[in-house]
Amino acid sequence: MTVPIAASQVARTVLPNGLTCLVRPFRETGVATIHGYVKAGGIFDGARPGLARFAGSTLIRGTRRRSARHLAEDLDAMGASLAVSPGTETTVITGRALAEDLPRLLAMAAEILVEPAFPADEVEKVRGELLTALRVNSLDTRQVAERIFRRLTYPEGHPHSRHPDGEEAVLEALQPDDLRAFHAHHFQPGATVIAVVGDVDPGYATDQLARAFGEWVRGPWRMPAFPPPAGSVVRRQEEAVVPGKTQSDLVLGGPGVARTDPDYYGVMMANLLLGQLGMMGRIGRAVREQQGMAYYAYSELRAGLLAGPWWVRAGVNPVNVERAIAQILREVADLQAHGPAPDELADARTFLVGSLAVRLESSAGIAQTLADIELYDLGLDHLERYPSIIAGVSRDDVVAAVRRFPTDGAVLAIAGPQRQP
Amino acid sequence: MQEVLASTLPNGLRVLIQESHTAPVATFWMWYRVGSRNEMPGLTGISHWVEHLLFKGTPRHPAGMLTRLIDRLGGRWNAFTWKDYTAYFEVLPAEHLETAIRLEADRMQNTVFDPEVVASERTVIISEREGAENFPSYLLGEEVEALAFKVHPYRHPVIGWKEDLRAITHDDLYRHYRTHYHPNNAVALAVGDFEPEDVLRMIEEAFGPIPPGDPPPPVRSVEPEQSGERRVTLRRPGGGTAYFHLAFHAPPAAHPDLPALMVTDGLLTGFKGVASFNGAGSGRSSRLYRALVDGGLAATVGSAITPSIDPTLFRITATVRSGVEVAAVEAAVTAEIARLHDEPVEESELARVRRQARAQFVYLRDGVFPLARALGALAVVDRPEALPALADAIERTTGEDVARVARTYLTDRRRTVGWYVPDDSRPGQAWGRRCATGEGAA
Repeated sequence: MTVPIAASQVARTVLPNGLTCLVRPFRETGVATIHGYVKAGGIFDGARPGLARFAGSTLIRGTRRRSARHLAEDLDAMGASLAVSPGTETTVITGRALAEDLPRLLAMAAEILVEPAFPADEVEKVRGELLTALRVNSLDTRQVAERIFRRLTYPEGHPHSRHPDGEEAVLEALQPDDLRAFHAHHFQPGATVIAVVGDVDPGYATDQLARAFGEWVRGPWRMPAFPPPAGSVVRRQEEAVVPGKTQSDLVLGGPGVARTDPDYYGVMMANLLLGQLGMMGRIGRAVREQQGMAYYAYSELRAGLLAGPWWVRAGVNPVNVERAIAQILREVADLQAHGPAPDELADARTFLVGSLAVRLESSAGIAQTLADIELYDLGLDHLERYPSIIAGVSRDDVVAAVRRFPTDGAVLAIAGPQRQP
Repeated sequence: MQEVLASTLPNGLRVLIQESHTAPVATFWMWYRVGSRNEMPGLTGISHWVEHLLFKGTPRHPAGMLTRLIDRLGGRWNAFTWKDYTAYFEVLPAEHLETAIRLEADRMQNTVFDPEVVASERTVIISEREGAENFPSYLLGEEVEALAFKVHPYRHPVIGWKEDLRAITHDDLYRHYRTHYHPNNAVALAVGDFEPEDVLRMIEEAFGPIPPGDPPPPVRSVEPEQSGERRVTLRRPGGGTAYFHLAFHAPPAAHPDLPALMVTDGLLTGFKGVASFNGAGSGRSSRLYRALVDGGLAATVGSAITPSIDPTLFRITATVRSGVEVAAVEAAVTAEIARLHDEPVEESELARVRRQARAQFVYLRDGVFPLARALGALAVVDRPEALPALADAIERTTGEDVARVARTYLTDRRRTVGWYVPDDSRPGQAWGRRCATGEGAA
């Protein structure tokens, strides 16, 4: 198969202030898309969970040049979108505009990242929106189960021990100056990557990036260190009863690996076989296809700058909770004991390499892939090397990786209606 | 953009083919003219259940092999059921498109309805429904639709009522499949990096031998005109805040007022385009965003009109900001509707919405999926030429058009108002916790 994107087709520039720009043309579409990461998120929340979420959510609500209303009108007058999504490890910025509007879109992206004003009235509006979302999520069984899982899996203070939505008392107390200080300390050009993909000339787009972001003054930034989660040999479990619900949602697993971990590819392939490939892997086949217990039952590996969760998630009728957990654990144990069948592993390899083209079929797909490659320092030739990377993961690597999925020492979180004992 | 190559095979299959050379991929879609619109009471949810069963295999492509076939080629595939249609799609490296075409032709006719598989899928679908029931906003939408329509099957949820899902039989499902899965009740659609004539030949070879079926029974229900406001308040625990859902009876896709209603939707919450799953603009300069979110009354607000075969609903939905009364949100929305009736729209505001619409039509060409989604949906609910015609009509829509459709459709007598009010809106006290440490549940 032909590799969809070679290193030679991507223009990479590091501005003097340390910001990394990536540009790849995507012709005949009339569209320009941006995808950026700032390494500022819940990792810098410290003792105030929700601080990064609050600061990031307010960026677009006014800058030193334009009010929230003015920004909204200018954006909507282009028919463009621009969104900031503050997460646990990074704050993500995404946008889309007609190609002719790229300079204006980049100027706005730079304005909100570099010169946000945090006006008091807008801070209050965002506070209300975030508190409402938090209260809605506090009765959302999937979210409740996830929060329990995180708290039981990671040590206190670890960014993955919390949900990035934060905590009510923190959101109630934060003031505009707190948000300003957070932004001033942690939003740094040296910790930022912006990818532009679209119907534009790469040289032109790079110039526009430099014009928009070149004045951003560089400050110190370093990745904080966190204690790794301690392993456990006994099951830790907790269940929340949420009235008014019909289904129980469960989360089972433990910490996974970082994207840069040398074992990442083995774990990623183990996860694919366990709960992704085809109809949600072996877990989906057993729990959904064969036993009809769940609409969704899958595994997921959140490998980022840190080792995020590696979990199995399922939603089942309350009477089936124990049976579903037992079946999931049987599937894990079986793959751990016997390893994958030869054709299963071959399918996973051909899928991973073959699906690159489909992942890269839209400007947003390409932009995110390029930004990820930069975020995790994989090298611009990553996609060219990808087939050989996948071919180099042996069956033994996959077996060793799947044995890392916790069973006896797993964390189990359940949220749903009251169950009969 | 290249023209769409449109043709009809002798067996009645409508074929639409569109070149797109931005990436070396292609997508193939089968659109069947069957959805919850075609369901009788007692059999609601049957179209969606049949959709699930089409992933269970044929003699040539047994269960499990279907998925492996697509995975090995690096493709993705899925399906969804809506009121007016059931759609199946594959996205693949362009050189493998023929595999998708052959697979779809096979499962149009040869899907195996194994009683054990049907039984196991019953509980999967009930689980899908129960997952949705955990969200009060979903339950409120269901209540509003059931109240807004007294007669027309648009009153039924696409997933079906739970008691129907418990009762529907294997034979019901097989009959539904046989009644609606025919070349003359479907649209085949391909978009991608290929020569259209090659793809037409592949479709002719795969689908040409399939004989046409009897035309499915027509949907005769006509919703009588509503002559007064309807109202429902849903009260139950499980929600962290209140929700507001307002629906007005609105005309079908083929009606000349659809473009002006889409522009009205754009004025209220930002123009969204016709392809769902394709994102939208920010909408933060729109009227309802300003009134409700900027106004501190709601955390989110949305509005929508989905082009439909039969007369449908124009909806406005809001997540009420914690601590605010739903009545305050309703009053603000009602005031904005009145403004549409009474005040002329400023040209600059209209220009902003037109620009959003123009951009959304351009964004359709970013990747093969969004264009196929929009072309196919409009071909089923209206006609294949509807997409470019819609773009032109939106461009010509005036402020007077907006005021006229607002006064015609967005009226008190045509509206259904829904509130969800949590029984206990104080989170943290509404639920308890049962803890155990050590021994596992398993």
